[in-house]
Amino acid sequence: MWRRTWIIYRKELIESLRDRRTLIAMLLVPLLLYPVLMIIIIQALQVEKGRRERDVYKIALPNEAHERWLRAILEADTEEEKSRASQTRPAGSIRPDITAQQFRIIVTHRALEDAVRGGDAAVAVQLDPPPGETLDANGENRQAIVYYDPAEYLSEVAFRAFARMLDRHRDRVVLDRLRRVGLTADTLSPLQIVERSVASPQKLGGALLGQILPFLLVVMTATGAIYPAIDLTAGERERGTLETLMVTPVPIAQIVAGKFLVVVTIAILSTLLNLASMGATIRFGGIGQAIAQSAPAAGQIEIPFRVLPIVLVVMVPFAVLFSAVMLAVCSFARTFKEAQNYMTPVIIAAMVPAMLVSYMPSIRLVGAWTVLPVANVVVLLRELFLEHYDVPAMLLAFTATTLYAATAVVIATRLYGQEAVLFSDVGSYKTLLRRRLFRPAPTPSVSTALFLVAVVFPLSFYWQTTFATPAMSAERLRFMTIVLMLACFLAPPIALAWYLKLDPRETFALRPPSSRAMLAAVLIAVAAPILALTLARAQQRLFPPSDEMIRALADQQTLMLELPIGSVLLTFAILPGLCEEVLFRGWLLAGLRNVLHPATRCIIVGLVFGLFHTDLYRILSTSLIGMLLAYVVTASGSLLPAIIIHAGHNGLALLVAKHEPFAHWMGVADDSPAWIVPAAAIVAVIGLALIRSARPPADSAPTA
Amino acid sequence: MVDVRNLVKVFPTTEGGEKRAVDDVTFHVGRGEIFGLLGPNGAGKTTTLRILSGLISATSGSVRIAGHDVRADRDAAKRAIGYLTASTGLYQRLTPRELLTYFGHLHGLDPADIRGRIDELVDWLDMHEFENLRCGGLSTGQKQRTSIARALIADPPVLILDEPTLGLDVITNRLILEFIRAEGARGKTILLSTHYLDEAETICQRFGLLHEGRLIASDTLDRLQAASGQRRLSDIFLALCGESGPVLVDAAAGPPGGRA
Repeated sequence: MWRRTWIIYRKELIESLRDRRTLIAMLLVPLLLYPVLMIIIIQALQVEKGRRERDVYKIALPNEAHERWLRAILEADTEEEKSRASQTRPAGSIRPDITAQQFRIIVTHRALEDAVRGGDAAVAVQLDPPPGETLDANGENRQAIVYYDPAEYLSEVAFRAFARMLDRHRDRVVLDRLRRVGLTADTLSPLQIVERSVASPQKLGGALLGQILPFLLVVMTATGAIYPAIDLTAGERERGTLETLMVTPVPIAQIVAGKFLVVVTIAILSTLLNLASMGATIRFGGIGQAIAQSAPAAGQIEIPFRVLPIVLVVMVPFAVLFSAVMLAVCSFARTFKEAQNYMTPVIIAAMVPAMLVSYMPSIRLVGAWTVLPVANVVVLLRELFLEHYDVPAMLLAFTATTLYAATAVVIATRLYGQEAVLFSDVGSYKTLLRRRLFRPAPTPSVSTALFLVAVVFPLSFYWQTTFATPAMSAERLRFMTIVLMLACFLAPPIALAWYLKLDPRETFALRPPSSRAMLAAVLIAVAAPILALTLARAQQRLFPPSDEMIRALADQQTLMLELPIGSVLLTFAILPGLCEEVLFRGWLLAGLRNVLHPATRCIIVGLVFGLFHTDLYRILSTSLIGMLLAYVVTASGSLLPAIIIHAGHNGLALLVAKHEPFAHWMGVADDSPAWIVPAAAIVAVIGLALIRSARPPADSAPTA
Repeated sequence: MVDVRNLVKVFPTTEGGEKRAVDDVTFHVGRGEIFGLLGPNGAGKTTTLRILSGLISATSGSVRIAGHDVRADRDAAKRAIGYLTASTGLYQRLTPRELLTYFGHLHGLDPADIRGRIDELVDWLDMHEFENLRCGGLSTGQKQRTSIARALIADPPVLILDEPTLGLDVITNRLILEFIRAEGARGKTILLSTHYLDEAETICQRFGLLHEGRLIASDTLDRLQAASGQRRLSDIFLALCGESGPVLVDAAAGPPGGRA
């Protein structure tokens, strides 16, 4: 089956690589850009350095008394400079300070402000009180009023250097005064600060690169994919070859798969080339030293080359995501030009989060940042450069990106085959979104189903992390949960089902269950929490959670139980039972119905359900429960038993925490009878057998 | 060989309305027949042929190609079809030989067979001098030859040709007509759409006259002449569609301001 995808892939890749424009974007730009950029930067720095060393800066003074005062300072500073140069000044510094010899004194009769404003001088100085005829300046304290123009670069530079020179002068005066009263410079430094950096040279390099590299990588990967994405869709249509491809006996999914893989390949190739070229330029081109010297932190800096392979792995799902989004967007375009116009917002959508994150160095890979599209990749890359390896959070970000990528791929496939998109004379793609024109369908398509889940996922996560505060009141937690359930899980699938004219009965499995199924639901609802809690205890023994995690879980539970028990059960058991079932076992399960084998479908629904709980520690148990519930709905043809099991499970788990006797009889207390767990297993098996034998109504037989 | 029953295609329009591009069309084309689907622009020819080739799906009705239902068994039906229009393009950065190999693979042919088949087509269409040059640099005639070879690569029993001569120069036009005659003589079932009625007269054995989405007649030239009392196909068409309005507009290149 995938032979033809491979054929299409090979042909499209050959054709793309024969395209001068792709080659330029993919090969020439990265291979030339960085070295050239580097040469330009180094040259510019050299020129700037030379100018700094040669340039002369004028200082305007109001009269000769000021001139004598300043000349003495300049001479003293030049003397000091000579003795200092050999000791502390790093050789070959890019931004050398302006030396005293570079200042030229002019005496003006104009107002000093005007001298600076008019450009006659870079800075101007007035002493208050003015210096006398004799050089008595050491005796009394004065103010030096320095005029400069911060909007003029040279004036600003001269001012900084001049101010530093006056500082040195002040230090000399202070020393002199100390010496006169018989003291030394040590009097002024009772405490000396000695810096000791704990960062490794690689980490310092990583911190520097982490500021800019993730942004560059994201933009480069996105731009690398643009050209083939347009060429393989809109370009093909414009040249009239699309029809010849579509009349061949190859399913559309395989055609799109072939093209999509080419876009991904080129995106990754271009990332790879960019990385290699950038790495080589930094390593051999001398920019490493340049960065090192401009770095604020003390110490040696090394570029952490060993994280680059991991960076590449992280970039793969990102490249997949962007390739799919671009393919989907380009599928709308009829011409190359039109597609290019559509690309602009996509690129901006990639750049803005990347840029924002780059500007906010305090952001870590926690909470919503792990699941926000694009932003999570940028944060993850930065964490890699900083050698912060929070593996579960990284896996979560990786998985979330993969989920978005998969959704984008499915949508791209679906759009590509649309008649309105294939042939311009068949109508506009605008008709694709008009509700009045929709034909009623029993269930959502796999692309719409996944699309909604991919939208709800970051949304729900974002809501929880932004609304939750460390010291949250029970009422706040309740409010957060109610909004999450109703606005994130319940309303979106119902609204979309209405908009798409889907059959609610089929989409949300709204059939009366058989009495056997109901009995089974009650049995499983009682047995499931016993087994789940036992599983959780076993897991805790095998992989003990951190104390912090135990405390967080306990805190949340204590918090919940502060509320009246009726409210607790309603908010944390019945509501999730209803809303989560509608989304996962209703909407998502129905969407996967026509494309997947029932077993695969249950496993996927379970895994997505587990992922939504974004708690890697509990992902095993939540996924298993998700799979069980999906099986119950598939076998019984009704959502109600799943709602009962879900609500029952949550409710019993809460009661266990609330009441001691419950813990005893649910098998989790230390004195629980040993027979409870096997008994629960037997009850669960009986329940499942009952469900299996309770045949679903004839019309709901899944069409696999 | 080609069996079309009660074919209907309704498009939604941007304004929110509906357009019946194909309206209850039924016809049959037997093995080895050359069937001309005729009508003015917008009569539904292209839409009908696209449904037949499996490019778009019908709103209702059925199409069987070589015994395969286009809706239920799309890929099998597609395997029996060679499709060509005057506007179908070529991959600019592939050579004709690479392009033909690609389409041979997409049709699921055996690599050894593909090579033999391409050699045959290159001989027959006299493509030796340009078979290894990039398609982007070929002349119009060479491109059309490559397109013909592309449509014939899997030696399909049915050829669907949508306006195959539209906008072509005299020499290329001749090439296409010769190719249609030759393939007809080799026993291929050919469905051809055109609004050049005189051209159709010389190569088709039977005609289907489409007007505003409806098939107003489907027969041989003799019987159409007998039924309408007219000799030339264009006169027959005008006589049979009753209202001469849209056809007149088309034939006379439109009165001032009259063309929509």
